[in-house]
Amino acid sequence: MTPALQKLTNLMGAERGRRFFDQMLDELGMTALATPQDSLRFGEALMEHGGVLASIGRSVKIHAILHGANPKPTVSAAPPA
Amino acid sequence: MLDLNYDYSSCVRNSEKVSWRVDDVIPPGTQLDFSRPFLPNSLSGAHQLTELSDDERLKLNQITGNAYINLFKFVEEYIVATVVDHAQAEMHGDHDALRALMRFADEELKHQQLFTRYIEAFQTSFGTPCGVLDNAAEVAGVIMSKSPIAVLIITLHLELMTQEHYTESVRQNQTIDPLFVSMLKHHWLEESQHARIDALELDKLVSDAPATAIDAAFVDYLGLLDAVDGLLAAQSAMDLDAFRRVAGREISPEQAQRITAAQHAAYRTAFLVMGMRNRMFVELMGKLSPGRTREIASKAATFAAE
Repeated sequence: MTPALQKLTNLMGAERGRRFFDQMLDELGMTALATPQDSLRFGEALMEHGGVLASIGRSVKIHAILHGANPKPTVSAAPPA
Repeated sequence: MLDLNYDYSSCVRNSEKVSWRVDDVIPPGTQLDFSRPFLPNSLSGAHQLTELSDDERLKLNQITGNAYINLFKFVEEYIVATVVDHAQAEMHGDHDALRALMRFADEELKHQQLFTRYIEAFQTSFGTPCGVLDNAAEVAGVIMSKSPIAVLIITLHLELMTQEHYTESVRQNQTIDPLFVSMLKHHWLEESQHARIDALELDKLVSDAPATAIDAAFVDYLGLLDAVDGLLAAQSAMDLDAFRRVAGREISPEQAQRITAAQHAAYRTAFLVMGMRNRMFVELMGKLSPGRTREIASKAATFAAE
């Protein structure tokens, strides 16, 4: 079980957590969290939900970075012409 | 991969057994005893400088003791930040790991407070200003810019090295200041768990890491050793400045060079070589990459010889 799924099921229960996890994967066009980069993307998407899901997302994101994912470089907005 | 015979729960249990309060070790208003050396000879270069008077060697030992404690406080800055990251990664997940990591971070902060109290007592009573490294945030930034595996390798090095200082050089020493011994004993009691938690965290990171990532982490680690050596050289120069003030006499350029070299060599032995050659560290690194352990041994020999 991936850390992301583990955290979701810890907080939402096995069935609901699994359903939410699969739904998130669908929304992201993914079939599994096969790499740290996949987990990073999943964590960032979770963070957009706010509340406790954002807390789980932050945790998933940091876990992914510790395991080798590269966080996206910050791109500052271009100044108005 | 590391085949460890302990877990997070046992680290928490041990941590609870040995826990202490800063006030119990160095009560507020503590006066330091400057009649004795603070560091054993194996961790200080002062005793090798036979051209100095007994009192000058004692003062240089105490200057080194103060810098030694500051160096611990210094590296604990990045360790707290790293451990908090690892705790954040366990949020909503493994509660045994989360508890162990939260205690680890709390204890490191407590150690920083303990060392701050000691350094303040030193500054109040020593009578001469002594410069110490003060760019902890910058150094933390450099270390934390490396791969998480490399950060854990150097953290494990530092934690195991700390323990070795106490068990091999301080614990049985009857000549050094008893308050200093007590402070290092209490530090060691909790660092024992920290080294185990470092190893558990490292085991998690390397278990799914490609060999190229582990190899790159060793390159980062070896680079960090050079960065730490640069800090030790900077501290040695500050020690010379402090010694000049405390001696209150002319120090020739040749003598200054010998003092700085002795200080730097002692710091290198204490902070680099003892960590790189620590039995447990060598054993764990051998499980990660036997080839790289030879490289570490070779670099340790270079540090020891220079």
